[in-house]
Amino acid sequence: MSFKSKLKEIRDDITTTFSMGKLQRNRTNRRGRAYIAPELGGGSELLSELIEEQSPWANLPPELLHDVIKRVEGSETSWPGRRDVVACASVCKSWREITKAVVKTPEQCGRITFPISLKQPGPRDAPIQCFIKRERATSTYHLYLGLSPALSGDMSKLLLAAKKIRKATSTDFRISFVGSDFCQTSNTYAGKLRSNFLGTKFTINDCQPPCPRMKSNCKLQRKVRSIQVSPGVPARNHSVATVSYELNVLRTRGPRRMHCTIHSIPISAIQEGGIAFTPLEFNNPADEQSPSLYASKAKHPLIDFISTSHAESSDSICSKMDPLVLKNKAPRWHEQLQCWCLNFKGRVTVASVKNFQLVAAVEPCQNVPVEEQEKVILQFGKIGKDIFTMDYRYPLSAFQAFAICLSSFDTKPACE
Amino acid sequence: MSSSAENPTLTTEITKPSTEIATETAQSAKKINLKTSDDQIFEVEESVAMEFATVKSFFEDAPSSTDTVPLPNVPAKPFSQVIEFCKEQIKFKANPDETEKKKSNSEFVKEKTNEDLVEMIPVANYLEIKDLLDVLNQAVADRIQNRSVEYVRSFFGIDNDFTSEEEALLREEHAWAFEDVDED
Repeated sequence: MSFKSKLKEIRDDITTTFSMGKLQRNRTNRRGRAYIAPELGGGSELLSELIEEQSPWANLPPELLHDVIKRVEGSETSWPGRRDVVACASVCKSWREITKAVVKTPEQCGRITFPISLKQPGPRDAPIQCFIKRERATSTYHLYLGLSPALSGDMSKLLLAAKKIRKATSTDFRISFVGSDFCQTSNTYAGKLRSNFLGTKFTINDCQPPCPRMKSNCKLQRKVRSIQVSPGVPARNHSVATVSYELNVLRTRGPRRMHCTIHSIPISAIQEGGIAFTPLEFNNPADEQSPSLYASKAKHPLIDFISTSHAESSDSICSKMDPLVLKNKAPRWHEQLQCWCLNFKGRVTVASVKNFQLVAAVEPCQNVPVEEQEKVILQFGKIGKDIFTMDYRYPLSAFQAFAICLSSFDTKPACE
Repeated sequence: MSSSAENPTLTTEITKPSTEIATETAQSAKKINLKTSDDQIFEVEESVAMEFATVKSFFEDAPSSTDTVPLPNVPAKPFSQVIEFCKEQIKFKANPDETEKKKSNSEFVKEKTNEDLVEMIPVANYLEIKDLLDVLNQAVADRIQNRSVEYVRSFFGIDNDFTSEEEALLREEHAWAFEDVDED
């Protein structure tokens, strides 16, 4: 029996003893002072034993601790103060449990608290506003939470960092939770973005496996199988999305055109009442396949739909399991300025080939509400030398959004 | 356990009625005896005792009782501080002034040691004094803000019960949360 439930039992015990005392007292009331005092036997002795063993605070009923932690969480809504919430979650197991219950996901509260928040979908309405700093000398990119370096200052929080590593036939952007360690075997490794030789096609790999029920999806099947036959090697790369840039063979001037296919997010996520998978904990590579680490909060019909083969899933063109596809919002040609323009609502100030806004690319049969189709899910653009803003929204996570933006940094001679 | 010889001093000290209360509740200046877990008897104004929901419900069962009410979960030391708080609260009940009340509440917790808070919270919870619980919980929340995990552990006297594997994951989380914020 856990300590907590034991304590609760004891408390209940005492309350019962006390109210029993009341009852007995009522019965003997007429005889003046002859009431029977509540028996303090077993319960309180055990309680004081426990108090000695633990501390008076361990005796604190969980609902009171919940209240205390909720107050900490409620008063620290921005960074760096929010680290106090992380501290609360590191005190001991019961504190962690309570803190995890108090803290809501970015989708629910628009705030980032734990590293896992970066793998959870962003808020549905107001985007989470971030900026990226590029360091050319070290080929590193740092993603910060905040409006801009000037506006956020000390309040900005490093969310993720990436390092560009050139290889013979491809380029990798290794993404880490800290700015000092880009090793793929480290615990701070979040995933990577890999480009093909031309820099026109990118794959996003997540160190976390995607939603368990998406695993059976054709695109991932091969990957998953190859992992299973090599036990011992921790599976730290799960392909979750691809980004492709349209080739511009004729070299005509015009904006880049990109397509992002997010295999780990079904199109149903943006359908009415749809939800995107939200991991609640980082999984331990040891229990990779354990489904208990995931919230199967989907009460959506799609949970019943498990595609078993490649053929089957490509047959059902309009299935709910179709991956979410993002495309550029088409810019308009500005006659006076003689350039392509997009309304970034003040978040992008410098013209750049890298600037983009992504919206969902949907087929009419996919039944996505018009307002969802018009919402900019990810916006990226330049605001200064080596400084860019990145605003993302549900159903993308900060990690996915950052990886997509990194693809824009890779030089693409074939696209321009 | 404190000796019973101490009791009279303590009792007179904490029940010395302030003049305002005495005049306001002149007609109902009934005293109630409350017995703490360490067998000390506190003689408390009825109006103060009625702030304790647990005691109040006791008397709802038996309105005419003149007996000593046992409080098996309440030691004397935090209880005297709880009474002190409730006396202040009653003043504001008759004459509500939110800013004054807040000021008085914050002064109340300011002079309390961590240990005082530790002891008072279970008492306030047991006696179901919602206002006090609010004040105390907020005080604790304020005191653990901007503190390290180690500080919070020693503040609460909690043992670290994570396994070494869990510790490793926590260290990464900690490194992420406490990574120095780039200044420029």
